[in-house]
Amino acid sequence: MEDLMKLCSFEGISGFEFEIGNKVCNMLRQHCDFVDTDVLGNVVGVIGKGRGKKIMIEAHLDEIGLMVKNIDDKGFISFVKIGGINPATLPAAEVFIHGKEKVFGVIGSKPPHLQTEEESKKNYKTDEMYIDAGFSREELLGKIQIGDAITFVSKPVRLQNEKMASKSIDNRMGIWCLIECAKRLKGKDLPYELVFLAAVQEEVGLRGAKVASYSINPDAAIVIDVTHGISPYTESSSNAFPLGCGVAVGVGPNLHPSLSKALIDTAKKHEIPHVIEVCAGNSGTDAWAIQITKKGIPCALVSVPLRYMHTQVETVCMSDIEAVASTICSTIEEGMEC
Amino acid sequence: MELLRRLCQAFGPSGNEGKIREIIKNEVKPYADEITQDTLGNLIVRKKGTGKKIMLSAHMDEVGIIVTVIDDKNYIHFSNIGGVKPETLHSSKVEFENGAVGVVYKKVEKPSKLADFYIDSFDACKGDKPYSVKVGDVGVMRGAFDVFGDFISSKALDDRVGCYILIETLKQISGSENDLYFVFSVQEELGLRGAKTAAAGISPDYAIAVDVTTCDDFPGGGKYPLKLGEGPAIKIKDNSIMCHPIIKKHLSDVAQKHNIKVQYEVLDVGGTDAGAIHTSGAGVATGAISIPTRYIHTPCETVSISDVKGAINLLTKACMEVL
Repeated sequence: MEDLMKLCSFEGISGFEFEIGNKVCNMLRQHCDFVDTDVLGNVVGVIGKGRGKKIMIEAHLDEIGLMVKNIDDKGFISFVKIGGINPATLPAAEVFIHGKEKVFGVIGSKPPHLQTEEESKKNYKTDEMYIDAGFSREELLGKIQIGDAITFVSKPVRLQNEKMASKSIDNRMGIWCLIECAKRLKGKDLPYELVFLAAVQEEVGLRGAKVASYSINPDAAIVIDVTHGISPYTESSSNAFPLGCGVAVGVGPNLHPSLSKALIDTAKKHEIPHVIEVCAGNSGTDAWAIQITKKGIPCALVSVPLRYMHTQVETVCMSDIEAVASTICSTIEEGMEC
Repeated sequence: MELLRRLCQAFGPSGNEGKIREIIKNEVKPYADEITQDTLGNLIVRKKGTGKKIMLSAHMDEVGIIVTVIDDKNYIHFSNIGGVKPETLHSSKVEFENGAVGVVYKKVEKPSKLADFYIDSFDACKGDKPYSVKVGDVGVMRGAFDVFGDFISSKALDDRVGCYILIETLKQISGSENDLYFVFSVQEELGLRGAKTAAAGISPDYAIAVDVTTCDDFPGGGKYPLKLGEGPAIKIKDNSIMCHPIIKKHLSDVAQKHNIKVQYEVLDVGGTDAGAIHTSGAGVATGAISIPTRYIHTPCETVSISDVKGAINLLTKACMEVL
C-alpha cells in the first residue's frame, strides 16, 4: 500500500506529466531492458525486444485537476477543470498551484448564510468558486501565471480492511500494476516482447495512448483502469462492483473476445477473484483509442472497482489491485493468442 | 487590410473552400518554394529550410448553411454547416455561391433552433433563373468588412484572419533554417478534419495553429480574461489540446525578447486545428496563437488590427528562430 500511496502523492494533471513521467521512468527502468519517452511525455518500457509478438500493457499516468484561468484585482484565482470533475466536490478543497513556486491555496465560495434561497438550492458552479492563497494580485504575479497547473493536496489515508483513499488512485493504481507486472515478468522466459506504456492525457481525451500505440503498434494491448465501486445510491447501476470482488474483466465491442476470454479463463484457473464488466460501447478508457489505431489493435481491459471516482477521496481495496496484477501476469505466462 | 478584406468577403463554407484557396495561391506564389494541394483540398505552401519541419496552420473554411428543402412556395429550409448560432440568424442575409441572396426570417415568435427559421430567396429557387438555388446548395452569412480605428468587423474573420497572418508571415520570412509548411486547411468547422490529414501528410516536428478565440470583454461577458487590443494570445489549452510546453515557452520567450505584447488563453470550450495536429502519427509538439475575437460565428466577428499585427510579428519571429 505504501508504494501506491507514494504514486498517488505524485502530481501530474493531463498535459503536465513530464515530472511524474521522469519518476515513473526511473521506477520502470529497474525492471525493463530500456525505457524511453516520446514527444507528448508518454513513458514506454520494454522487456525482451524482438522476442516475438508484441504485447502492450497500458495504464494512464495523468490525473484530473484544475488550471489557473485568471487572477483578479484582489488576488482571487479563478480556474477551469482539467478532466471530468463534478464542481460539487470542489468547495473547501486544498490545492497546490504549480507556478514558478508551488503555491498553496484553498477553494472558496459564497457562504451559505449570504446565498439567496435560489442560490442555496443549487451546487456552486466552477465559475462561482476561486482559489484563495492569501496573497495580493501583485504578490501572485511573481509566483504564478494564467495556465499554471493546479493539483489537489495529496493526503493518502489507510481505511479499514485493506482499503485506502486518496486523490488520483485513478489511475496510479494502474501505474502500480504496470510496474508490478514488469517486476514479476522481467526474468521469465516468454515468447513475447513486453511493452509497458504509461500514457499521458487520458482524462482529456485518450490522447497519449493514441499517439504512443501508433508508434509502438503492438499485436495486443491490455489496458488497466478503474471502474465504479458500489457505495450507497450506486446499486441501480449495472456497472458498479463491490470492493474486494477482485479484478473486473471487460467484455464488449471495444474489447477482443479471445483476449477477454483468456483473462477470465486464467483468473478461474488460478482462483483469482474476478467479475465481468460489460462495456456495451465505449469503455471510457484508453482501449477505445488504442483499438482503432493503425490497422487495429486487439484490446483487453482489466479494472479495479473504485468508489467516489474523480474526487480527492477515491477509495479502493488493495486485494483487487493485487488481483489485476496477478491476472495479467498469469495470462501472459500461460500464453496468449494474438 | 485590402487582402484581409478580400479573404473575409470571399465565399468558403466548409467543404467549399475553392475560392479562398485561389486567392491565397495567387498571393503566396512569389514567396513560396513549393505549392501543393492535397486530396481534401488543403493548400500546403512550403518555404524550404534545412532544419526542423514546422507546420503552421490556419483554416480557410467558414461556418454556413445548406439547403435541405425548398417548399412549394419556394421558401428555403436549411441545416447548418459548423456552429451556426440560431439566435444570430433572425433578419440576417445569406448568400449562395452563385451570388443569389436570401433573407433569414423566423417562423415562430421566439425562435430557438434552426428549424424555426426559413430563407426567402426571392424566387431564386424557381426553375431556370440564372441565380437558381437548389437543394444541397451551401450558403454563408453576409457581413460587410468595416474598419473603425483599430477595429475590424466582418463575416468569416474566423479564420481568414489566421490565413492573412500566415500569408503576411510568409512574406516577411527570410533566411530561416526551419523547413516551414504553411497549411491553409479545410473543414476545421466540421471537426478539425483538414488539418488532420495535412499533418499526417507532412509529419511535422512542431506545429503552430493560428485561429480566433472567444473574447467576451463586452456587457454580459467577462467569463474569460482576454481583452481586444491587448495583444494576440498564446494558447495554453482548449477542449482539443493541452499545448506542448516547448511551443508555449518558445512563443512566450520570443514575445518577451522582441517586446511583443501577448495574453494567455485558457479556454474550457472549443477546439482548433492544433487539436488534430498534436495527436497525429506518433505525436507532434503543438501550440497555437489565438486572435481575441468578439461575436464569433456571427456576421460581425470583430478583431483588433494591433492584435493581428502583433500576431504576424510573433509568428514571424517564432519561425525565424530555431526551436
